[in-house]
Amino acid sequence: MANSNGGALLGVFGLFERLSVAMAYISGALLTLLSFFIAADVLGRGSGKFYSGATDEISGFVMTMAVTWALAYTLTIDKHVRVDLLLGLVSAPVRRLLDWIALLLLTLFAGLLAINSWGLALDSYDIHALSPSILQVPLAIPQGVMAFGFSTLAAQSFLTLLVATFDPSGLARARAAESKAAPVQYDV
Amino acid sequence: MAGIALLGILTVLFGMGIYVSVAMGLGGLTLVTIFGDRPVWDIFGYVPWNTTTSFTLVALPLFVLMGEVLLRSGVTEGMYSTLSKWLNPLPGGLLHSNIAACAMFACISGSSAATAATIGGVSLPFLKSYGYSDRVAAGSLVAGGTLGILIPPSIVFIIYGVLVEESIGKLYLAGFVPGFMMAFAFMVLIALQAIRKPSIAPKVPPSTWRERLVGLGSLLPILFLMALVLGTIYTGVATATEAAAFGVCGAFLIAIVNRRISATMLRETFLASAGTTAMILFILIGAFVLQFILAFLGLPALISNWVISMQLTQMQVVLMICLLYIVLGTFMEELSMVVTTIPIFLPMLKALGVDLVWFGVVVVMLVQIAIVSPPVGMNLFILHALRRQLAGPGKEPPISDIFIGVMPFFFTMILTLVLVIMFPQIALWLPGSAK
Repeated sequence: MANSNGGALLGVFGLFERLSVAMAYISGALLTLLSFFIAADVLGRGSGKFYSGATDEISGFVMTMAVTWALAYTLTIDKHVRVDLLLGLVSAPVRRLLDWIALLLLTLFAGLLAINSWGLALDSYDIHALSPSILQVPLAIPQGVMAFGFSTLAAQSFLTLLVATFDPSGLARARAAESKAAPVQYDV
Repeated sequence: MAGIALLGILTVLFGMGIYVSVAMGLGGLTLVTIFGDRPVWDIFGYVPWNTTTSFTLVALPLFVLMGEVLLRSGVTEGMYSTLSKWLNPLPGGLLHSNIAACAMFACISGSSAATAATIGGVSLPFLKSYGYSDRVAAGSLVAGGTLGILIPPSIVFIIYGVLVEESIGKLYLAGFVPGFMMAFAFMVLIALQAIRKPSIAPKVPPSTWRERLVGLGSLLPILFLMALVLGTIYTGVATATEAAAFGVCGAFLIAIVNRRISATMLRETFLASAGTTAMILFILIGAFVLQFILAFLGLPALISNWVISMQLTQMQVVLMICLLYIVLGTFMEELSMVVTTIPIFLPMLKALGVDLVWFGVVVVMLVQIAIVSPPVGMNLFILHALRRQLAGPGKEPPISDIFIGVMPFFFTMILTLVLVIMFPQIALWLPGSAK
């Protein structure tokens, strides 16, 4: 019984992981397109031929999506930064407990960000707030996109917490597989 | 009181291994719940919004992306061997190519870890085959790699610039001269070590002039990118963000010319840049939430007034901050160290009239020192991993070799830092001369 529950949980967890990876692909692709757009806009502005008039605004909207949509992926490959000086020194059970507390607090923090971002988007929707440039984008749209990103982080974090509680070895296996599939990534 | 509580909360949360961003965000929330006079829930919505839509900060993911494309573009192939052909005759031989290759790679990469890993990956097998001293080789790569964040472009300068609201372009130009000065100091150190003990750097067969001149072609793509990124900033054509966008286009162009674009290459580039961007920006979101709450509680102003009441000079305060960073840097993760402390120091620095561009260079040099100072420093671990790979299973070389090898470089970095502190013009003349 416990096994089939664990299997279902891992199944949902795996599904969410695949969603995170897909969202991270979108992030990376968006950043690439954004670079081409900014470069074209600067060149166009210089030659007087083409200029969107809202480079900074569009860049900001794209970045908020690229950043928040990759947050859950970064969790699945275990790349969110922790100070691990003491973690290496404690015994395995203590380490598991500290990992679990870290995930619990991450879920709370991500939830806090998600709820308040949805609040921000709803407020903007209520007062029909528009972006200041000539584009006049309803701010609720990019703010909703950001809120969705934080929500996936919160959901991913909550699922990871559940798996860490009920099936710790399953989590270790899933993490190892994701990290192995991920390209090498450098810190600052 | 709130200051002591902040220190206590952050120490406990960081020590427990709570995610850095979460520690700052929830630490700030705890503080404001105890000491604030009203709730501030809504900042958890609009602070992330303002952070992730800041045009200045867009430079960060774009420079990360540029680096990821370049890593897979074949741009560094040939660079190391060309530099070694030119620098081999100097006392210290190939060790100089480590530093020069790091400095050159730093001109197109904003990351210290990527620089150490890329150049280390090419040079370590080479040095091993010629019987170079393992310790000096590893030490020079650990230290040389840190040039990645001092020589522009640099991820740390962007983060610092956004925290103190200073122009990223100016900071980049300010890092340029100290960066090459430090590279030169490393090379002098290597020459001195080699003259004292020639066995650390055995002679390698010399190259012909023809070989040297032909090799220069492999440096052209890097010079092209440097001109594209730094040239446009220096001449005032582009902001740092726009220069980063040019850099990404240039990097893709090089990858196309070298026939490196493929579905796998794009897949890896997209995922790695998204992952690194999210990792850094998540920390920044936590840092800005904390910065907002601290300002709301008036804590930095309080600390600033307290320090000023002690009638310390500007120099004394800067030296005290340096000392604090050198101590923190031995055990703390470097990025977290900067983002948690700068918001607290900022009002104090402003009140004392400290030049924030110059101070930015000082901070980045302190981060470099933190990256190489044992026992915890990112590049130490990167070189350790590279050496382990090279040695093969069962023959793990001790990390203490790297600790010993990096020490002379550590002191050289401190010396360069002292020079920049004593003569701020080393950093400031280039941004002063730009448009």
